Amino acid sequence: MIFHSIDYLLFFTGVICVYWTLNLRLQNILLLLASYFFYGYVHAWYCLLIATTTVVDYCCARAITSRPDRKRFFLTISLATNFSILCAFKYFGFFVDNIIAAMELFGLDISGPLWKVLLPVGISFYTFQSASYVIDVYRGKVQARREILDYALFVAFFPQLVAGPIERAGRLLKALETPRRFNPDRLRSGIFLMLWGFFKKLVIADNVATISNKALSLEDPSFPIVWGGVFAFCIQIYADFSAYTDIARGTARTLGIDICRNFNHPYIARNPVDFWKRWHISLSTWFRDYVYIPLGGNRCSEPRIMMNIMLTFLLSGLWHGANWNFIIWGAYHGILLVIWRLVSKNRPRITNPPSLAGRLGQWIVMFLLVNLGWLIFREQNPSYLWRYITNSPFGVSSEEWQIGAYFFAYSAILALPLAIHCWTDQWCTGNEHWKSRQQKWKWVIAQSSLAGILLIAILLLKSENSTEFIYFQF
Amino acid sequence: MGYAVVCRLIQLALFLVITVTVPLLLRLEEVYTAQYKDGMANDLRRENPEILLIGNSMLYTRIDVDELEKISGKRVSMLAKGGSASACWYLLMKNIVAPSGIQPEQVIIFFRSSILTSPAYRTGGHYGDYLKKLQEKEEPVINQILASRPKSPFGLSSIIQAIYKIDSQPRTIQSGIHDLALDITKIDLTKKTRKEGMNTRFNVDNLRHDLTLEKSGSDPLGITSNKPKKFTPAQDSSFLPHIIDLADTLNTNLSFYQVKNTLERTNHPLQENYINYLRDLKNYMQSRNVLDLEESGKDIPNDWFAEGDHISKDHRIEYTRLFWNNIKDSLLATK
Repeated sequence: MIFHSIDYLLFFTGVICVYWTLNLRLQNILLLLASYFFYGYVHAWYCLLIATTTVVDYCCARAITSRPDRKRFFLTISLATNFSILCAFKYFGFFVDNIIAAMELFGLDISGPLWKVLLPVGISFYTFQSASYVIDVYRGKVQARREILDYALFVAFFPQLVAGPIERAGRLLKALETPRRFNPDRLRSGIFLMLWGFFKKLVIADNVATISNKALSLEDPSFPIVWGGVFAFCIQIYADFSAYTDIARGTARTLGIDICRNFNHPYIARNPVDFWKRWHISLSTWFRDYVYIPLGGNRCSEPRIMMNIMLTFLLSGLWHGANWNFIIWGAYHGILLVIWRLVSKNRPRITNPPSLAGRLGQWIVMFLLVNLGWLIFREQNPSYLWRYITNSPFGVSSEEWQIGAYFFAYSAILALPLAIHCWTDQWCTGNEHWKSRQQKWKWVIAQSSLAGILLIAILLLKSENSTEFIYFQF
Repeated sequence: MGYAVVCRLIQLALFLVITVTVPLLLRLEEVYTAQYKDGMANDLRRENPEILLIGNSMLYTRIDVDELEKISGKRVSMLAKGGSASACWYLLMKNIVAPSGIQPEQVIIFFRSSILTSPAYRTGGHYGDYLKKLQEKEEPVINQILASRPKSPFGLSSIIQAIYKIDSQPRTIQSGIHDLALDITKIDLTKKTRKEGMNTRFNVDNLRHDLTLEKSGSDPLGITSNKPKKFTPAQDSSFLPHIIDLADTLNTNLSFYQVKNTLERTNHPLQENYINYLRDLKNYMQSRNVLDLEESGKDIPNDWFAEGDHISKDHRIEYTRLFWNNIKDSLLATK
């Protein structure tokens, strides 16, 4: 089921109405049933997959606790099962295609299977979430749960099931086990957050998507058109993915559960480290805790640290999709981080400029680098990617520049609400006086009016070509 | 229940009420204008075609009108609107062709897959705006057929539509954003010239060949997957019988020309329901004495195709010749 559908509106209303009349145990049973219904709405067999992951990980975590002498063995079983399922569905076609291509290089003509494996939505997200629980149990950070119901709900919790944030047991599972009381303020702020998410998806992301799709569907786009399109995609992917997170967080909040923030205004980042602290935070921290640190993290020699960074980001790229462009994108960000590390060690004045102009310059450079990354991320055809990157800005006609500038301006206008939100969010963070105002009548009326305006904007400005969330494909 | 809790509940109720009522302030009624239709009908009257072609991009990327006039020796006109479907073609017949008073020998409608019997297809958003330009003040057939669209659970879409009148809202804000972006990036060319320039630049002929319809996800009709619903020619749920009735009233020969979709022309195994659909469609056309023509997929080399099922501009003249050779005997037989 997709969030921006009438079906979801009805589903959510039904769940919320029943939910708050129940006690904790029944609330969790309802949420589990609702989550499986949500996930199996289009393809019922998806439920079988998630149930398999749940049962295997539940049993392995229990076995790790009851048989500490064989805990490594049970961890291996859990990880092997999880990642085998993930590889079978996500990477099978990719590996087969590459083997065939490699064979052709040696003059061997073999044909691949005629069928394609359908990628179940959200498999990368819930696999990582479930795996983190078993690893945490293995490390002794989290206790293995007796109650399979709560654990199954932790894996399948519908607001964040399909595109994250990737939660940890220490946080979400604990929240699911804690009694929840109806709170009108949280319901109000949850609905507001959902509306903001719908606005970002339907008005910003889907409208700028028409620009990026247009620009990057040309056979011979000029330099300004390519980069106008890439800028539009840069806005699109942030609005789209953060919209999903906001709707997920808003939904969870109406249910009395807090899930983590996945974005913190990534485009104000001034360096690659800062960017990855702000973009897809739950995935970055997952890779940090379960890949980078076990590889040695920062506690080893400098060449080894760089290798750890590269390996982590290559895996992060591969996580996004079974295609070479994602691996290159991961490598690209790994290289940026390595370069940043080298520069900040040897030239601290460059990485930490004292002047405002210096910081502004740093932000512009980082933003351009992020855009280049998005071009790699989006373009799956290597020959077009190369053509786009090597496009020259010289000798381009005035008409082409004006089209590119128009793409840029249109995307920037649509991105204005994101900029305003970023500014207000920065201003409000840590402002206790602001927080205390939120229950005052004036504030409620202002918030309601803003919600009404968001609703008007959604009704009037929503794109005619609404698409699925980009991160559904991962 | 304490005073504070009651206050917070009232605040929640207030929030919900204000949120859903604020958008009601913007309910605007649409304004009817006949200008656009009259202009089109005048053009048609002036051209007075012997062959009239109607369709969408499947038509205008296939047929070169000048070439067709040359090889057929007849006056040819084309009413083609990119992305249009059966509702639009019905309105073109009813509100443009009929009032123009012309009487072409042949009217040929180009279609693909199950588009002829998918009445709701492309009737919303900017497609809906275009349909409004073609409509009379009262359009009972359009209203009746679109009202029979599949309903969302509990008719919620209709309720939202009835409350907020979304389809009737002028799309001035959307076009205002586009205009603002054009204004602030203006260097030397006028807005109109730039819009026309962009239409030419992003013409289907200039698009990438590797981006197929499947990839762009624009396949709500099952055009590429061939999963149409059962064939339904009922008067209250399809524009097809009304289009045929209009042709009868005009006393003109009507033909439908089916272009092949990606799967059909690549000899992909077709699903049984699609084969049945096409069979029923052909039977229906025969029973209504209209000519059903179809593209000969095997005669068209793959390199003639541009993006999706469109024919590239380099091969349009060749395609036009092939088209005429393919259909001329059938057309002459209907005289």
